[in-house]
Amino acid sequence: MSSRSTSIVVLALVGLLLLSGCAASADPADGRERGAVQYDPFRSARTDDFVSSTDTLTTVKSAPTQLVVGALGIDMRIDTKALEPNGDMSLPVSPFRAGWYEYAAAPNSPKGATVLAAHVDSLAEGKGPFAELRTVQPGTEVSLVDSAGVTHTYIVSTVERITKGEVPWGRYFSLAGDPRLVLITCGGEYDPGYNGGVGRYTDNYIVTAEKVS
Amino acid sequence: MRNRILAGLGVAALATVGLAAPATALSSTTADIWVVHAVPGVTVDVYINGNLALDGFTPGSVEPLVDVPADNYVVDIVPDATPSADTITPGTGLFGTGAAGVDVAAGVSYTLVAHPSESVDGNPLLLSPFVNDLDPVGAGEASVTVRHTANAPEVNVVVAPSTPVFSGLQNTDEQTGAVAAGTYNLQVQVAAGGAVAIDLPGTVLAAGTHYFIHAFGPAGNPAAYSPIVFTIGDAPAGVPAGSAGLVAENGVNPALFAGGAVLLALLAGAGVLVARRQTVKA
Repeated sequence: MSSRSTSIVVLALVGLLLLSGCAASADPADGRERGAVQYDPFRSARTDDFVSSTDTLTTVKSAPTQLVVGALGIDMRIDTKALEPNGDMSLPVSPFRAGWYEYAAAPNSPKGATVLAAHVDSLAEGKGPFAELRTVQPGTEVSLVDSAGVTHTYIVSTVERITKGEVPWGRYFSLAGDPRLVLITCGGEYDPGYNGGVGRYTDNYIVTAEKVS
Repeated sequence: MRNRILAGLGVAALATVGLAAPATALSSTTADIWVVHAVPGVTVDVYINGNLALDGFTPGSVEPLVDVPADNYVVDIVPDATPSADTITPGTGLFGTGAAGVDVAAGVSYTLVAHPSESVDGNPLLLSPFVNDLDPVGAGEASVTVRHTANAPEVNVVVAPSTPVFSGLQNTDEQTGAVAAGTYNLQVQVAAGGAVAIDLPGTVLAAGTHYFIHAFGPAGNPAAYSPIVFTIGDAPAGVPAGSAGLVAENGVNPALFAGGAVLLALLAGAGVLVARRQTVKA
């Protein structure tokens, strides 16, 4: 009983330090690790064969501003985000807003992944809409509205749960390949002792949706 | 804008040829290899260690091979056949690395460009390896790498009409520089005489993005030069997207959830939230 009380106090103190809601990863390099992939034959390393186009050099990115996943009851505003000083992706403080990573693709880009991420929860506001992503089914429709007022439609193809430190981020944040949408949040087990009691989830949930219009 | 591009390039521009030291770590165990087909007029098959890797690879195409284990690879380029052989004897292609192969180190992003040389007829054909400079470019800036892989003499890259960006690029040369993100009227001009070889008005260079631009040609009818482009964005090291443990999948963790409830009371001071939690627990 006394040990439980101690845990509560520690958590509370940590929580007060964490109102902004981000549990940083300890090693900025660990997210760049890629899982071992075997090649037999070598051609399986192919990911995308494309004919270069000057579209790559002439597209002005149109930032997404609204995300709707009707099947999950998600309707969120989107802020434009880049990197934290430690190399992690910067996220809106509130789990009720999503961040668009401006160094990857935009919804109007001819190639590549448009990447949105949001906190799954926060101590101040509780569980956020992205907590529902783990339940999304392939085939679910997702739509984005961009800053030009254009609606872009995507169909979910995969839902992945990957241990932090093993996520091949370069692939998910790729500017190559067919236009697609990648939604990222946290999940899995919660490790309250991580990084000296800062705490974090052990995994990332990553939803990929192919662009259909 | 123009002043900034000049300031940035004057300091940051550098020329490298061939394989240099790793610029940035992508992975501790594997490499990425971007294969670029800049030989006009011939569809090819690409063999790696004698195994068919790219079948029917057309001029102007780019193919990223990801998570390639560090090793020495023999790459052969042969004209496309129908059907293509699954295997050939390594080192016997029309051109390529030769039997000695090319060393690929872990944690490095490479480009292999098949392209003509500068001679009158473009022969011999070359397979030139480059290391992709992926050092993070920072907020508000783009990284531009231009590689001369066309059958053409020495060129300069300018902001039209004549503001130098890169100068003195010869066949198989590359130069890299950081520029302020923005829109530029880029041109590739023949160094001797200033004829415009590639005109790229309204080129958008976005922040946090690395542009790899390969000169290609002459190709098409009428024959002309064009760019083969791929881009790589700065990728984050991680996405820390949760902090409260409210949706943890560890199963029951009384200490954690009791802590979470107390925190909500402490932080939000919201009696409603607390009441709701107690109802759920009850």
